[in-house]
Amino acid sequence: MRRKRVGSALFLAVMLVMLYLPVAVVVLYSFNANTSRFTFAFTGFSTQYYQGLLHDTKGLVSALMTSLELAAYSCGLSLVIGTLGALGLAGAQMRGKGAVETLSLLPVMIPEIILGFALMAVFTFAGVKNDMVKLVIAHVTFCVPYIYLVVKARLTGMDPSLNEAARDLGAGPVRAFFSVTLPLILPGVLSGTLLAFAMSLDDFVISFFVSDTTVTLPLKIYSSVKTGVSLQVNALCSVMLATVAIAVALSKLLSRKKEPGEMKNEE
Amino acid sequence: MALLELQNLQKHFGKTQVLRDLSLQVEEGQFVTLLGPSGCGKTTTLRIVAGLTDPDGGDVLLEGRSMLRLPPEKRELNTVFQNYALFPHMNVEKNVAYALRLMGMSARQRAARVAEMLKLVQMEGYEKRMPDKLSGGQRQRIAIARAVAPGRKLLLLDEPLGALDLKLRRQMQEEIKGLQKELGIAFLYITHDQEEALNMSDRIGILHEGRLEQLGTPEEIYERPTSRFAAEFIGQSTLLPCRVLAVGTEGMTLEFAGQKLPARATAGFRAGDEALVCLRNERVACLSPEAAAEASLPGTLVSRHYAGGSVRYVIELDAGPRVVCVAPSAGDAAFRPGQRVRAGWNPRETAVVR
Repeated sequence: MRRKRVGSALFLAVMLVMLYLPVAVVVLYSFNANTSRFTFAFTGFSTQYYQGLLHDTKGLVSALMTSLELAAYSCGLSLVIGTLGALGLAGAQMRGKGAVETLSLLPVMIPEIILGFALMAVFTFAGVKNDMVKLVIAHVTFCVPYIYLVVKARLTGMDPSLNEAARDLGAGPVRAFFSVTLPLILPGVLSGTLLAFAMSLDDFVISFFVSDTTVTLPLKIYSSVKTGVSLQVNALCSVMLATVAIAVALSKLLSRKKEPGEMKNEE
Repeated sequence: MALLELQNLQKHFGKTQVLRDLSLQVEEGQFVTLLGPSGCGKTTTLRIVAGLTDPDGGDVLLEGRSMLRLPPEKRELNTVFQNYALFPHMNVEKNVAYALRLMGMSARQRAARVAEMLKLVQMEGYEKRMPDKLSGGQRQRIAIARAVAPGRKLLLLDEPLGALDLKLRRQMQEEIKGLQKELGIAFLYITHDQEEALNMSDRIGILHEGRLEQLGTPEEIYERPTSRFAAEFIGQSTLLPCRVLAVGTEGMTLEFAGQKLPARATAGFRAGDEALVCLRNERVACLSPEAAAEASLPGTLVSRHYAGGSVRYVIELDAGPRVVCVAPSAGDAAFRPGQRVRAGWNPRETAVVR
């Protein structure tokens, strides 16, 4: 028994180190006083990279802003499309429903490089010139399935007679949706959107193919690799990590509060 | 004019016909139950009335006006759903007030009406509870309170007691019946439980394969079943296959395995017809071989099961079929298995069906 416990503790420790060591290194080096790109020695504590970030000396922050803007547009659109799609397909009793479902999930299964190349070809063929429009369309393509999947799972667990009860009590279809269906699928809609947001923010391959001049954060980091990575990236990553950590902690806190009321519905 | 009238309802799901020419009337203030096994079309009927399913043919009239073109929210009736369908993200008060808000009631009127409804179902003080913090019986009460709050003349109830345990079910039967009397509104109630139907209803409609087999008061349904299905579905009975020998004004003469049996006059039978005598278990007496009875058949006692208040005998008739007899228990020693006995009954208390 005891040996087994030691073994699993060891396994857990190795896993955690592998997962979080790189993160810890990034945070540590963001406070490094050493400015040399060639030695990784930690020479002292400094906030120079954060100060640089504050004045955006390397263009990293503006790239991040572009990424956030892109993610906001594409997630907003995907949110509507994915949710409507899940609602529509959940209620539909048509022939070929399974095929439609599989087809709409395909974008997340196709290798990104193929999707990116295909999108680029289409945009060139169609003569779409605006970078942001191209990027938003491209990102919506792979964001929709995430939201669709999560919302659909939520809807599957929902009792269809709830909506019928609302109608029976005098609510029109729109009213019934906003007062009963939407509040119940909202956690699904939000977590799907969050997932899609992360995917959009993180996307490199597809953006690389589609964008002409617009520089998203992944593109910026990639291009700065050629000229040598600015160590400011460490600081930026640390800021983003902290933001994400706080967001996750907050959402956990909120969902814990909500859970008692939601539990039954999840089953 | 009836409050609710169903006219020749037809419904198919794919190739299966769920409703065949179903017609039914519900008068104001009446408790009407649709009783039938699962798959008989009773839930479909209810959903058609509520507007949640469209019929393929026929019409639904509420106070003489066709409702078929109206969406559920425009129909002046409410439903208690099988699984209660309480909104899980709203507390008891908001659930009950849901329809009231849509009717445009002011906050004060709503609060008064909610309080009134909760008092009606004996759930005062539960306003702020969330549905998942309520027991099954309590949810049931809130579902009823929510559905009667708008004050419509007709309430539809879809197997509302199905999920409760036996004891609670008995108690809720009485409460629902009392509530219906107090409110004075019509209930269209759906169940597969004959005891529930017999206990609560003013009228029962027996539904079988989408057809209305029989419609009548609980007493009519039990005492005078008009079809084999109705006779078998309600109560515990043995059906004896007989042949009609003669039909008179006072009664009929039947023949079973060469023996003549008197039977009560039943419309629709002529000499030579096949007939089934419906022997209710509690209406059959286990008699000694020489005892006299208006109608009786000789046989051998196969088993005797003592169950406290009653004794259950199984008699194998000389002609083959077995008859079950449930009699109130008495202190004196009774018949023993293997003994010769007679199964006797009163022909005037016994129905004959086809």
